[in-house]
Amino acid sequence: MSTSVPALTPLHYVGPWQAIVVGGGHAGCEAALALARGGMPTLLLTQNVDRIGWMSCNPAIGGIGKSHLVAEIDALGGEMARAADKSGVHYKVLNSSKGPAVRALRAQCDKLAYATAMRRTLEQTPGLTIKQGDVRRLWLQGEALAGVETSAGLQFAAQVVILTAGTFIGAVCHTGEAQSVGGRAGDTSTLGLGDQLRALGVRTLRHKTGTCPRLDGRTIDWSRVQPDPGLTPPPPMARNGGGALLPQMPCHVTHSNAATHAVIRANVHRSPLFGGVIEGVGPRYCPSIEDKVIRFPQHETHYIFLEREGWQTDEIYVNGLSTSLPADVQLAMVRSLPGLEQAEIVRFGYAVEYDAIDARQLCRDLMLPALPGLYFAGQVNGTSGYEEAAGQGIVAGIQALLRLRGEPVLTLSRTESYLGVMVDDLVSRGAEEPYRMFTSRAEHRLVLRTSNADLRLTALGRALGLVDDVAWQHFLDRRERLDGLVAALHAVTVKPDKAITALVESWGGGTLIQPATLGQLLCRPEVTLLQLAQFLPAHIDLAQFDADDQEEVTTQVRYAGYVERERLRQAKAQKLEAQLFPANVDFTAISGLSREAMDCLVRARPQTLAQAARVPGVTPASVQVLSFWLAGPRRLRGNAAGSAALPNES
Amino acid sequence: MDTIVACATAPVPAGLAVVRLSGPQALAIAGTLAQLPALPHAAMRLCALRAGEALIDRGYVVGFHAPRSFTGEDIAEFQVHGSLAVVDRLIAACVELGARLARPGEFSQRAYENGKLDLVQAEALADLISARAESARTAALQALDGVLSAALADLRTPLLHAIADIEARIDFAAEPHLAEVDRPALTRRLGALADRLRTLLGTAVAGRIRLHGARVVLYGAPNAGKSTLFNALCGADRALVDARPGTTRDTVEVQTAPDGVLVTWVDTAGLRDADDPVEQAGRARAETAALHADVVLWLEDRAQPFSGLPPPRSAARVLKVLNKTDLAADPSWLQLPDWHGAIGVSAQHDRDVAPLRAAVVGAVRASAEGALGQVALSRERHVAAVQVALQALERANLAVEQGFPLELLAADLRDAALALDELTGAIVPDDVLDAVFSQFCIGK
Repeated sequence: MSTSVPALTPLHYVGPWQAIVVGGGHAGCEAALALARGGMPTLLLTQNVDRIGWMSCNPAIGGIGKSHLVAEIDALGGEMARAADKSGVHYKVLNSSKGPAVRALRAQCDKLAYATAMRRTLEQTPGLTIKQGDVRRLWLQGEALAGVETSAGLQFAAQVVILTAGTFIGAVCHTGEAQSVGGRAGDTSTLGLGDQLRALGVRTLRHKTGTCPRLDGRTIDWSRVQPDPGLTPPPPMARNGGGALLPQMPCHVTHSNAATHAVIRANVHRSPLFGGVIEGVGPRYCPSIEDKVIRFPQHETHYIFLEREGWQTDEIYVNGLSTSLPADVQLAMVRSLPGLEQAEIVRFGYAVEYDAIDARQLCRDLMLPALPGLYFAGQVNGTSGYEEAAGQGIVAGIQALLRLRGEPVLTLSRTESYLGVMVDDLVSRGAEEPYRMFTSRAEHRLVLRTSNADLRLTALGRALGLVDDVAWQHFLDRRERLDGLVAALHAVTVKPDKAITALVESWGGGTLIQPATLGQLLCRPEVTLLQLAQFLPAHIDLAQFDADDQEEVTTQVRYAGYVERERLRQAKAQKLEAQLFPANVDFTAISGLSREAMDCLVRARPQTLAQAARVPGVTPASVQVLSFWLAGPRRLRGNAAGSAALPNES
Repeated sequence: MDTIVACATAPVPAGLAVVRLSGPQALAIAGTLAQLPALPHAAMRLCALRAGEALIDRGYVVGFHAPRSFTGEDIAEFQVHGSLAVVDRLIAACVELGARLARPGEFSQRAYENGKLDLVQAEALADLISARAESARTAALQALDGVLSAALADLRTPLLHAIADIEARIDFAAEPHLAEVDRPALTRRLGALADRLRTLLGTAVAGRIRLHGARVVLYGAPNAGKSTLFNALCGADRALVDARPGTTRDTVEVQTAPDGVLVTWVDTAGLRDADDPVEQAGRARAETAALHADVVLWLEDRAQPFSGLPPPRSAARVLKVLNKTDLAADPSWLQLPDWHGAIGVSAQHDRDVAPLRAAVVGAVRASAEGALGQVALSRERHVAAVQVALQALERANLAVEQGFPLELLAADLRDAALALDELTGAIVPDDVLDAVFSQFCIGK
């Protein structure tokens, strides 16, 4: 079935495109935008243009770890944050008490409005062509990539192809015992591509994910569930967008109970997961409700959030109730929840199993070295989540853009972005289970804040041609504003005279004994920027600083000590990053490595010593072996630096 | 990978010398010299060693097959007569057959590369090779066995658990089942961990004494007989000692190993002239020496009244010694109950010096008793890393108490874990490695 490519004589569709992006999901949209904004004629091919920018699961953007990715995409000139603001209906700040570096913003979105906004942006981007087409195979000429071929027998030529197939390769949906072919309920699956990739020697993994049933909002007793209003005013997700565009709505909370859990326990044998029908590896951090109930029997209740999918529909997303149990069980489960006794299910929850590729086969630019010009981005690389997909999309788009321009690969370092952390994790560690971003994956977390994402990345985005003039001017203004205030805080000293001592004491901390700079005062936990306004030079007007600016300045000042330690550690890390393996390194020929370490290294193909150290299965002793090998006379010098370009730290 | 050769024993005339080859050619080269078709693993053979037709020596040859060898590579060792000429001729013959001379520490470096040793163990090996006394040898052997590595791993586990607890609160903040961090409980856990690090730091003195010996300082007024006693104390062991002038003109240091315990005896001389204004400076020097001592011998002349010296300002154990037991005791000593337990000697007549020496050995042994049994930090690098970890933990505790954001607490705990990781060589900068391996002598 999977090899039933139509026996048509392929028709070469002549077009101006230098790049083809296969897939119109979150990765595909960012990849296509990066290429087109960078000036490359680009073709986006998708199975269904009505599903461009579609939120197949949760109607929300952001969240812990994820909002960092969104902020970085935004800083580079990507679209996700702006689309979220055009569709956001319920904003929430998470982790607000745990520190500015781990603080996160989550926006529940009107999913139709999100998809419409994204599609509109794509359509308005010069040089970007959208076509509906089911890519069945890569078009090869000899051993080289020539473009793609659709099931309708059309051949499209391009020098680079970015494959963002999401969950669609070899996909099967499960609801209880029932199965259907498709990467999302109601859509088809991509056939043939997986087999072709495997025939080309690409290793694939089987992953699984799931989603919850959707309810008819008119059948819910809203008086029996608790409203959870979002923030007013909603904080913007995009730095240069117009902020939230739509009227806001509350979400609602209910919770599972003994009856719910009893229904699940009585029927868990009918779950394709527990019955062993599903072989794919699912995400541990995003468990189905049956998983939660079986694995954590000590918890008597689980929170369930009811999120309306948009202003134009009454369909309700039941956050916390992801399941692949049979339809009758889902209904009993839903109706056991307070307020949902009469609820009707519009669409049943399901699990989807699909092929992902083992991302350790990719280079650091997300390109498959065996087939130059072919890039992979998004869920097909073993990740889960819209933000992770979009992040890879913009990275792959940028790398393909650089390749087409004949410029060197860009290395996004772990020390400067979550995007760098994610790509490095994927290509050096792979994703045995679906990979999700967490702040703890970023070892340099304290300096990687959403509030300084622009300071870290916007200059890069501008150099690539992705940041427009308006956004660039906004960035320059903000940087100057922040730098000026930080400088003033360090420059102005207050002396402990009677009035000032009384003022400082009135703030509730200790007294002031010695003269202190404003920066030193700000380091006291009880002191805020606004309290220091009166001491600032006249040319600095705090009214120009929004909450985000104030937090960034405060954090820069307060975290200076931590950041200095961090900087030292980064310098150390960079030293390891700077130790490159030769391009043709044969790890099996390095004596002293254990067989397991060799296998892991051969798969992960680390390009630097630091990457090697992060490969699972590579022990500290193995790292030492590699370190000596690199330092020793056995190293094959000469072509060493070839393919592994260092970050351009100029 | 090339094959390296070096003499594994000290380059001095001796009964026996050991020449070691390591690398892929080791067995072939040894087989050629010994005219044996094969060298089975760990089997010693008596043979004539020839370079071509010319006889180099008769001796033993033994082969160890990779990876079951010290370096993890093929190794061949020759035991030959310990003449420098024989050793030189044998090494030259190995080089003619394709081996090259090993750099200092290269055998150990290869063992380390091949995963036979971790960093702490590699250091211990260096210590073992340079051990000058039984106590140092035992300490190094224990570290080589991984005793310290295991203790560090034990510390790392609870630290990682604490880190995991914090990270869970940050990355899964939306989980209603994850309660807020229990700050008092966390303070207790981190406090206990910091205490363990402090205890470990406290073993540094014991570790140093075990490896490098104790400093025993003679403290006393002029004419108490310090120098005479000094000579009597180290005299018996002169054959073993390394006598050299001290860092200042006024200090003499001699190292001996009575009863297998390394002792550096420190005498402060030049305080003869009581009226000389220099004496003030001399006394200060003596006091400084006492400050850095592990054991202080406080010497008084029993035939004279008490000198009135203040007790030494030192954390060291103090042994009180009354000299000149051959002369009549001054009656005033009966009024000084502090001195009733003092050890009596006559340095001049070498009377009762042996029991004093034994008392010193006992005191040194007691000082070398670490709080953690066999586990002891023995190097500056260990102490520095544990101090970094401890400071990070103390910052973490402050962060907990002050209610700092969890992300700062997490950063401190991560710093602590990284410091411990560096200690065992999880990831170490090259300069540390260079320092480690520069301490090896050739062929070890």
